[in-house]
Amino acid sequence: MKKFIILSALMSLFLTSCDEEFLDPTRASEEDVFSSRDGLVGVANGLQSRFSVGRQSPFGYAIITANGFTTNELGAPQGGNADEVALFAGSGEVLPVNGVVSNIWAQSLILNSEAQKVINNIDRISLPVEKASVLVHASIFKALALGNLIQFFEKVPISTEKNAVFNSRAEVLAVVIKTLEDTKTSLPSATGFPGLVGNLNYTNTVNALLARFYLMSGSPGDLDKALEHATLVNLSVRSFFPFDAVNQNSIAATAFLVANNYQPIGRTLGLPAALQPVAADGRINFYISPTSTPSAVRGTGFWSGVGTSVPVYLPGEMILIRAEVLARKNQLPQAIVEINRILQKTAASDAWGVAANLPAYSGAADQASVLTEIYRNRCIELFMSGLKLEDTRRFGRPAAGSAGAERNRNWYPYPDAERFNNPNTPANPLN
Amino acid sequence: MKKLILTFCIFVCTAYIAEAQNKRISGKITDAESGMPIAGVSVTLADSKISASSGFDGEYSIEAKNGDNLFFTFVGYKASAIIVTGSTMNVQLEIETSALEEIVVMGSTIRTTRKEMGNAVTTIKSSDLIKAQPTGFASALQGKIAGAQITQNSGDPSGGFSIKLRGTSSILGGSDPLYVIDGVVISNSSANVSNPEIGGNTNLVIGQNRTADINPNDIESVEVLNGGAAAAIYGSRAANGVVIITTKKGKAGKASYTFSTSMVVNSLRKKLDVNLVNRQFEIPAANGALFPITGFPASSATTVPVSRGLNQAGVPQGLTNMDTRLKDVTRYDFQDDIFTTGIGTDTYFSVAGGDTNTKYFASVGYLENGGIVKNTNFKRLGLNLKVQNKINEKLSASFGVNYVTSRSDDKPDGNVFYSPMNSSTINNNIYDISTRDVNGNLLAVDPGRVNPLSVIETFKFGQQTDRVIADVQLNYKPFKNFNADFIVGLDNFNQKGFGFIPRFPYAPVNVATFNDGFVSETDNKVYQLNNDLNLRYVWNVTKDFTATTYAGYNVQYYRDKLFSVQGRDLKPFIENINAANTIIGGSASSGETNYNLWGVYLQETLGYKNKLFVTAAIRQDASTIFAADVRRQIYPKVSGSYVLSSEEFMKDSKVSTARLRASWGESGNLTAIGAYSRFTNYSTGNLFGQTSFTLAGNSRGNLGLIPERNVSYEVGADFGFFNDRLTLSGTYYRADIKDLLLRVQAAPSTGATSSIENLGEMTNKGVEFTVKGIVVKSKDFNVELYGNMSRNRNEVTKLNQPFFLLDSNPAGAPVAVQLNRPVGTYFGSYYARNPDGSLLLMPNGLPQTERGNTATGAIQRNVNGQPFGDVLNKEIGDPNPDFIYAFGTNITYKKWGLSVLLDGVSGGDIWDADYRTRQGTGAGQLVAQELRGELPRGYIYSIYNIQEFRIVDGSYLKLREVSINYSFGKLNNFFEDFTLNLSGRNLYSWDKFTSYDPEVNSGGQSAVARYNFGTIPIPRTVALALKLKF
Repeated sequence: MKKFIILSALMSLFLTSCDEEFLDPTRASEEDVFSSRDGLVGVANGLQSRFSVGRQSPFGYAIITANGFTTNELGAPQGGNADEVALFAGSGEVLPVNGVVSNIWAQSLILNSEAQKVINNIDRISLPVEKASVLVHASIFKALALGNLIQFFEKVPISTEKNAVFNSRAEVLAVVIKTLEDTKTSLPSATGFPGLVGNLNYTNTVNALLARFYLMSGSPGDLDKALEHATLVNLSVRSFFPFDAVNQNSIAATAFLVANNYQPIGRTLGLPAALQPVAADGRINFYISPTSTPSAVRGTGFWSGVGTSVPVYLPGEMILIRAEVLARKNQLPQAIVEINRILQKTAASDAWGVAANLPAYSGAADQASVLTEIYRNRCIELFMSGLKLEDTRRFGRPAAGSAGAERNRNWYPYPDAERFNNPNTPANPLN
Repeated sequence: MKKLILTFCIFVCTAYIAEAQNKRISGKITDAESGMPIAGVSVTLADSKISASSGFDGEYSIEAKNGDNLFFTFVGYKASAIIVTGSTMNVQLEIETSALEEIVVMGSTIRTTRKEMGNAVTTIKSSDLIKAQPTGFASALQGKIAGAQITQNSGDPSGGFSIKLRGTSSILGGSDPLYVIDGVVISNSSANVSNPEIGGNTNLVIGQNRTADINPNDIESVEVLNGGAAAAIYGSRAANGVVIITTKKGKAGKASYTFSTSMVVNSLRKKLDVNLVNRQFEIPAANGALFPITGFPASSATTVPVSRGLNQAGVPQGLTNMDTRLKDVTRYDFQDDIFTTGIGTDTYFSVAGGDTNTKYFASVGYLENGGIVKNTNFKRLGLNLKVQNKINEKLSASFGVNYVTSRSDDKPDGNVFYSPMNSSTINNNIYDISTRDVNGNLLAVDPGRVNPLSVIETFKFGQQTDRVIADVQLNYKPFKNFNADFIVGLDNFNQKGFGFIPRFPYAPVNVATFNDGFVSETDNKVYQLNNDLNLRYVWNVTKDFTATTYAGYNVQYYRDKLFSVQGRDLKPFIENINAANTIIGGSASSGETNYNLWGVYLQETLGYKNKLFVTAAIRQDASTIFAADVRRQIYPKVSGSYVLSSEEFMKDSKVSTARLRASWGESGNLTAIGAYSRFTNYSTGNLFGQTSFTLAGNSRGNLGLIPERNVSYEVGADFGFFNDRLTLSGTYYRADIKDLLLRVQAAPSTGATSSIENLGEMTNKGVEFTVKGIVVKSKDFNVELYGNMSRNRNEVTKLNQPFFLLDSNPAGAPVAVQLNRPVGTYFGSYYARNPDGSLLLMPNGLPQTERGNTATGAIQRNVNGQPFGDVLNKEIGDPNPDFIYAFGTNITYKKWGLSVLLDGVSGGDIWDADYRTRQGTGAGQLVAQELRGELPRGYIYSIYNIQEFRIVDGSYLKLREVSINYSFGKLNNFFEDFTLNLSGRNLYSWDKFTSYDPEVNSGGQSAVARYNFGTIPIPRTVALALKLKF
């Protein structure tokens, strides 16, 4: 018995040694990443990865795909891809459980949350160049996340919290613009550094995005700001999301290069007859493979290969923003000058080679006609940029459900994941 | 660990004391009925550690004195006691038909009589396990345990099995019972090392599971404790029930040898009818594809038979552009190219022997199991050694080492379009896939797709496993009525998985199916150690009262390290990771799991007049998976058993046995979540050479998680009639799982898409019945009939939202958790129906999806009576069976034996993705009907995206085992026995399933999924075996 008492005593020591604390040796903890310079830089890179890499990513796949189906840019998806089929069919087929729509929603809101955490902890970085670069980098993704969301949903929660309140479009755009404006003092130092993924030109990107979102915001004062920032952008500088064999261009990898998802709708770019590009328009062959046949369309452009880069904005977008602001301010001759910059652009003169290479504008010079021409050129020049749904609304194009509709939804329904867990989720839009 | 070894050494070295003088008693143990010798009977001397067991001739010998009590126990027989009066003591044992007195294993080393236990226990003896030449452990159990749903999830030669006792008891933690071999808690991991490119879904657990390493020939008996309340000895590790495996042991006397060998022939049980109508519709003429899954990018102008909803919001568009012109093609049946007859062998050799002090058992087994898919097989070599040593009168020790090495050569088993089955399903069957170019290369099939013969001929997937299961046990009986068992068990295995897809010699092949080739290598190293101490003291308080006290502790350490790397864009000549020009993003990764579990218990069993037993126990369990302040949890347990038939008033009744039993207890699930799931973690990534951190799994941690608590009770009764020739047993149980852990959806506005919460509650309740009758009983001819049936009702009783979809799976099955419904229901779109239940057709006569208001779920009809509005979803199927059942017979006539076992599942829906895909590509029977005009043109298109189309009834009744054997008996002085056995497994299935086999599950060992997406069907197996004893 004595031996057993000894044994039991020893065992009780043994038992206490079981009570250990194990941390995951293969991952970093939240505390680690947000309390150190290296962690914050890694999260900043992670924002870009989340935004651009993979089929669930907003800009790498979900936004461009959803927007493309909704606005008739993309052709029939293969029947097995139910979410894409639903977006293609539009209207009541786009359910709150739609995977592509849910990815736009969830990934963008996580981006908003993660980017804000980087901004909140930015003081953990001491070197001014690094601090400024990471701040601008994170702010760009926060602005893109919220700014994209408000193009697809009527209302969007800005703050990250339980039962978050949904903010109006004006409030969201104001935050987007403020986030970008707040980087301006940091821009001179934000030159990037080894360790932070490059390829985003911070100053030009911030100005380009400010131009884009001031235009969407749309008050007379905002339009002036849009014009001002569009003019500030150096059009010869490329700012882009790179891809390679490891971090693949998802639309190339899962759609354009394969036969089982989708392709562009065709050489008409899905535009109604009156707006279709003329056959000589060089931009058609930029986006649609010249070898396409009507029954076998092949997309190319920024999704021609798994390593093809996708621009954050196009020079053409800046020119067209200028054109649009001028047209809306009824400065029509100046607007037509901008339109002609687009129409007469050659591949050599565009940073990305997107070039209509056409004669100058010869249509009617009234405001409505000029605006229509601007819309038409946005649809062609900015094909699959993810901006067209917003454009169809801003230019007052026929809405979903009306005759000649150019979009099959006006807004997307809020994903069930949000509705089931947030009582503040507004009612879904009718269409 | 060091402490442990030290303790062990001290214990062994100091425990020697002098032995008493005894004489040798010997005798023969025979079956009271047949007079046949019984081998393997355990003979123990009362109040000592002296024991022996009988040889094949039934002879035993043991040292004892006149007047000593000798106990004879053997699984399936009534225990017997004699007082030694001479040097030859022959004993007859009676078969334990009532089973009440039967000895059952209650915990690692603790045995008790069945009548003392308050819960149901099923015992399966060796002879019943291996009657029909099972190649694996789990297949040997199928149909033999009431309340156990045992499913072979894949017909791959080493395909996974799942055993679910009394329903789904945890959503995150799985429902796998605890497996214990001779006191060693073994891992039943399903780590996916051969297809690491598939996965990332919580309800996808594919591949081998590690009971594949157990050779059924080594097993003496298996006991299954169904309920979580069953065993205080195991505590919370046993929340899903326990499967206790006792292996064969050595015995005193002349060494006896067993040799058996069998030839096993596997073949495809059922071939599908494929569409061999040599026609197809013209468009798209360019490439010859057929229905919605086109092999070529579609253009809205020509091939898309549905309008965009641009102008008619919410109104179904109907079909346009459905070409009705037919053209001639030649169709092929790819099944002949994929399937073959797999030949295998199972050879086993064992030796058992020893003397009164030292007994040994050793065996070697070699299995080769050929798959029914060409170029697949599984090989397993196992060596097993058991030594038991009596150190002195009070102390004995046993040592066991089981080394198993196995290798499987597989193909991807479903879930991807480059598996043998999927690659044939996803291609239109208009290609002669065996055609080759001048260089002998196979040719392209549907654009983007993989030629099935490429998979068969050039793909290499599989794994090698090396495993050691070892144990050391000490049994100490320092004084009367007390014993202590000390166990150290080790389960250590290394797995090496590999995958190789060469570059395809044809184009186009989709990027996702690795057009430029693929390699993967995965290493998994698992270490599991358990240490148990069980103390038992029996106090005979008075003549009528006994009190048995049990106490002890269990400790379990678990460590694993997994490393996996995948690459593509291959260099020539090389088939491992060195061939990769590109390492696939995020694929080179390490995983580590570390956790400890431990517990202490105290149990008291009071017995009154050997007819009333009451047990109470309390246990504390702890797990490092949960936060320090909540990791220790207390679980109580109470049970009772009342043997009515021991009462005076029952003496002369026809009812020979009657017992009532009940138990109530609590347990926890200590491993329901991952070892670090409570933390918020960031995954590492590489973005163009730079570090990236992203919120792991988009999931927020939760430090306050506590273990799920399973509160269950069961009541049951056991009856025997006509001297126990007819026995009946029934149990009702109910288990309430509180604090159910769920990976719940989070509103993305919280910055994450999910988190784990203790938010749910779930109930399992059900009944289990077993009946057994000896219909004919005579010297030469015996007929026994038996059956079991059980039903389980699972219900989620508390949830934070009306329903949520569990993680997606490759087949696209919408698996939901709904409030007030069983776990795992399918929640999706469904057919529009008229009030009478018939399909509400479109004006053109085609079925359509139901529509209405998604907010209210109400259907809507327009003025023409057609559905309008949004596509509606509802529950469209339930994978949980209504009941499961099995029945069979054992017939013996002189030296002949015949056994038949049928095993069935009634109800339960399957998401049959393959069925639908076949209709989408061309090989399906609906295609044939549409081509022949028996279905309207556009029928398949119209139903293709209605999810209800993929829900099919998964009921089946299988002719699970048939075996005929002839025993020559003792042939001469050399051969003790010679038996020939012809057996078949899975010979026939009565089912209405739309694909091969309703039993297989492409979700693998997942606790909730049940879907069919290219998994290899279970073969029909015929085996001829011979067994020699000498």
